[in-house]
Amino acid sequence: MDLNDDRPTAAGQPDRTARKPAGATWAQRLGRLIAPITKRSKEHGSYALANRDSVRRAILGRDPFGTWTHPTSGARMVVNLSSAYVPAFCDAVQRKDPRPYKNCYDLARLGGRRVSKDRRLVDAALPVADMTKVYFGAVELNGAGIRFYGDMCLVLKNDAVDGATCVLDRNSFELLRSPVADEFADSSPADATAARQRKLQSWSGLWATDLGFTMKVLRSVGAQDRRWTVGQISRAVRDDEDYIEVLRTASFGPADLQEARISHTDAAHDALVGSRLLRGPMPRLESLIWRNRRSRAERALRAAGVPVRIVTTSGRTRE
Amino acid sequence: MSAPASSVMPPGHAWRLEAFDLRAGLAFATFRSEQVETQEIEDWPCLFFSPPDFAPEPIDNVAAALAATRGSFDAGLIVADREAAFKTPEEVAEFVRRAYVSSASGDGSDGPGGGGGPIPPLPDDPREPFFPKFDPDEKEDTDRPSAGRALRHAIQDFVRQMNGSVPPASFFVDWSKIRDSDPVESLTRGALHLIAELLGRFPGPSSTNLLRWLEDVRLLGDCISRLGLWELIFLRHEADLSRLAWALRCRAGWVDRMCDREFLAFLFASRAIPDSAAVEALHRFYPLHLVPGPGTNASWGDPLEALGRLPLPAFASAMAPSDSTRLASIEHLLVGFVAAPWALLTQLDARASRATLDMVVFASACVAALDISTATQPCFPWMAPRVSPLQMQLIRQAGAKGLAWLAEQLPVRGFAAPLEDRIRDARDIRYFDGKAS
Repeated sequence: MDLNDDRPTAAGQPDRTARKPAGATWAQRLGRLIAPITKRSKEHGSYALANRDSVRRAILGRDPFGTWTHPTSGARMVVNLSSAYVPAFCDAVQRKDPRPYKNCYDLARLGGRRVSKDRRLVDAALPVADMTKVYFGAVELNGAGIRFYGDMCLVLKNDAVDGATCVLDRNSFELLRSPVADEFADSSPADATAARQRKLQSWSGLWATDLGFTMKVLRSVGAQDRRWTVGQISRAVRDDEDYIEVLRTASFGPADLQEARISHTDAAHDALVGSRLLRGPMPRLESLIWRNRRSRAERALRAAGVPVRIVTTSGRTRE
Repeated sequence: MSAPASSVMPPGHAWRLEAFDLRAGLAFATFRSEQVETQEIEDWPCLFFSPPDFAPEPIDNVAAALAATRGSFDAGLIVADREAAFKTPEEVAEFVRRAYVSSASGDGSDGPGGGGGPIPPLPDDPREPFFPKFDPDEKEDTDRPSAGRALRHAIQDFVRQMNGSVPPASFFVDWSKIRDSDPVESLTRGALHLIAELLGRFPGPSSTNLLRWLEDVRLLGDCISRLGLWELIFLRHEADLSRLAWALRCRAGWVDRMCDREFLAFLFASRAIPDSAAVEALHRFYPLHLVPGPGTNASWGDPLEALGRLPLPAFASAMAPSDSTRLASIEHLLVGFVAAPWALLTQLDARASRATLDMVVFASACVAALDISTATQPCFPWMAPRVSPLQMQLIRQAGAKGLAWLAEQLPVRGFAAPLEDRIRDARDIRYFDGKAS
């Protein structure tokens, strides 16, 4: 398998004119990770190469034999949003709001929210031109995104993410945590800023050309003498709050969504609240509010033409 | 997880909100010293809270909290120029839970989400605020005070403790006395206020909103019927009901051959559609409650959605956010009251606060005491109303269920006034014209 395969990917046509991140491509770095594995054991090396190809096919939404691409499968940019805000997000089109999905800077302008010094520090190091125009997301294969940020996982369409969109192989706030932060601890502010920028540059890639060669799965699952399953790959791509970060430089609205996903645990809890309403004991008020908001959110999404799906099988897609 | 024992607790350390979204009910709390500005994070103990349970969940990666501030999350809860501190994770959970509930009183203001909300008032609504003709200071059974009075006393006690607290102190709140109070008067008066408000929002005989208004009227009629309250309301407040019926009949201009009771039965308990010729013909030959028609459309799968269709009278509008007073509903009142009960006493005058408490008791009974699993026939007093001791017992039981449920939802802990204000102000958080959390 040619690591520099330039065939069109599920994330859009590769953009050769896009600014390439400095340093090695993810394909090259992945190759360097696999090389010592092969050196230790030829068999493990062969499995590593075969599993690498499985990851690429899963990311691109291709079948196991790489012969066709499913239009709704593959890696997607997802953003989790609380169901409390989904009606306003969907209603933005009626209000002719140019930024239906809002980042902290949009909300800071509108409502006076405080922007933390931590975030300004990290955002200043991002490999993007204007950090106030960045809308962060995560890469997801089959799951319901990062639940910490909201119970509705908004899944952007394949063609709604430009091929030149920057991706980071981890949360950019890792810059502030040990051991990375220790590297700049004794530097002057100017040197620390430059060092952070170099570090983020080293983590960054492009959606179209690098995502298929993510090292995250190999690092998570490890070298084995077994073939990885799509479920394992899916879970490794986004594992709890360890995710591949997407730095989209434009807002998006309901028309950009492929679907919205809700987790099966939330769906079960929702149904239990409904059952308790009929049979008792009477649910608590916050449970009723939570359920009511989710119902309103789903109605708003479906009215906007966005299907809502429950993720019922962990890390596996349904054709 | 809890903070280390006090003997080993680092000085100045407390649980602090690292990143939070009060409307979403999501919060990351870390155990650390106060930091208004910071450049370096450490691997502090970190807990995550989310609805509907708000159970603390340990998080290993504080970076996840910081990344949350890129969206709708706020960074750091600053109150009176200091970073807010909580002694235990339970206090954090209670603060976030109450703010989450409070925020629901602003739902619908930044996107309808398919929920209709109550029918709006007429643009040139000439009505004076309606209050039933009863003596608010009439003698009560001192062994069993009314629910409204018991709630008022408990809230006054809450306010005293709140004003006497200094951050980061919190206090436990005891609502047990309202469980033993008498709900009957509050139920009937609360229902009467809602009857008056809905009738006052009659949109006109040829309005496109007429059928929707009629559905909402019949939804209220169904609630009252299921609680067994119609006879009691007629028994105690027939003069007020006649006054309201007459005012509406003058505006409607149809069904003028009916008496007041038949008119109210047609509105609240029948399924007939308001076609004057058809109704007049039917009136001569059929009892109205047997007339087939579109029927009510009660949203009984969700009691909050049902309460969301019952409008909040203007005298209580201060309990709703300022940008949504026209579409404020009993649902908004209930959630706002549960989250910050003290606001009722500070924002309404005595008469309005008594009436509002009655509506809260009625709303609680609608949530907790109605059997929504079965359809029922409307139960309306066609002849002189009578309420037997057994009927009264059933009404009391329903009211008691509502009060028991309400007592369970009210705050377990109160905080000093600045934090209580933040809980109340969560109702103003919006997504498109947002205010700070």
